[in-house]
Amino acid sequence: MERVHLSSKIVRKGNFMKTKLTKAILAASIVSAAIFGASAANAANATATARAKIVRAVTITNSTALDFGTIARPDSGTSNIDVSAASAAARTCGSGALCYGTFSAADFALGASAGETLTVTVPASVSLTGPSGSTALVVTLSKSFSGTTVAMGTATSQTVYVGGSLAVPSTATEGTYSNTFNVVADYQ
Amino acid sequence: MVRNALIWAATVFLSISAGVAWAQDGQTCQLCDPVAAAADKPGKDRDIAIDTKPLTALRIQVESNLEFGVAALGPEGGGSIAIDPRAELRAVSGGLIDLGGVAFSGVARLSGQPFRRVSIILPKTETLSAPNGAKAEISGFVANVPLNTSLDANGDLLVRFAGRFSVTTGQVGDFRGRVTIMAEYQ
Repeated sequence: MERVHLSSKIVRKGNFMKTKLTKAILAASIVSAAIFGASAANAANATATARAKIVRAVTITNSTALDFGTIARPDSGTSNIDVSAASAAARTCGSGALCYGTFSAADFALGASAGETLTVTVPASVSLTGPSGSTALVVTLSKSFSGTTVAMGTATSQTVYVGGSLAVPSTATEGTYSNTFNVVADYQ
Repeated sequence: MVRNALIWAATVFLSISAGVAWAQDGQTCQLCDPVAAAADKPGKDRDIAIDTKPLTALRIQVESNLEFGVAALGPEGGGSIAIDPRAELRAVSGGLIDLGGVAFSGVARLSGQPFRRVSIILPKTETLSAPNGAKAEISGFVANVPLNTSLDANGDLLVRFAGRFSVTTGQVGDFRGRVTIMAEYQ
């Protein structure tokens, strides 16, 4: 009996402690909630996204000139000498004219950020100036890309080519004809 | 023994509670509506549980992200893009070439207790990253309003914020980062 009574007393005291502890924890929780809950309401934060896009400056470099080679003018009329706008350019000599010597299309190496699209402007034509007193020869330019844009794709460099069609009349003065033209590239 | 410890703990806890609820000078309840608090000054043995008009919780909502636009990194090297949120002006400097694009300040709306003074906390710096691994930084954050100011009669405050985006040589890409704006009642 004594043992049972003692056991019972221990259990009851344990229950009492548990009850008091529970109340204390509950009270502490309420007070904590009052303090820290209110503190949380006193401050707030939010996150915004910041964004900037930095691309490589566009570069454009020419290393090969548009060259029609040496041409013997036709005896009559006008002949067109065509150089295709390609890396391995082809030359077509119009009826009545003779073409020989090396020839090439002009190349333009474009540098820009991958994934971007460039607007590339090529003039429609250029006049070649010859010897003093001669009449200028007109070249109608052609390009290796369609439209006015070039997509860089996954690369940061790409080469475009400019060819042309040179009109050579039978009245052309003998001599060397030349000029320059500008190709402009910029981000679209 | 346990009972004494619990009583002692509860006493300490309530002392701390009162210390937080009533400012250190013992005159201002920091958790209360200031109007109600002014009309109902606390006594020496005042209990925190008397608060019946709690403050409206302070909230921040981002209404617009921060956009610096587009620039090209020239051969001179790094540069920066600064946006002034007070005038919505954008300045590109150093080795960057302005390519335009969409650029504007970030906008955050604070809402809470009308007329309550608030402190706005902007980050000192934030790092932005590009998918290709390039890094850039925003520093010098500024807002179009004083950082210690008040909410309006509706409990609102619109804050425009921006800073200076800086990039170093060779760092190109589509940079993104997160800017955390904080605010708290004074």
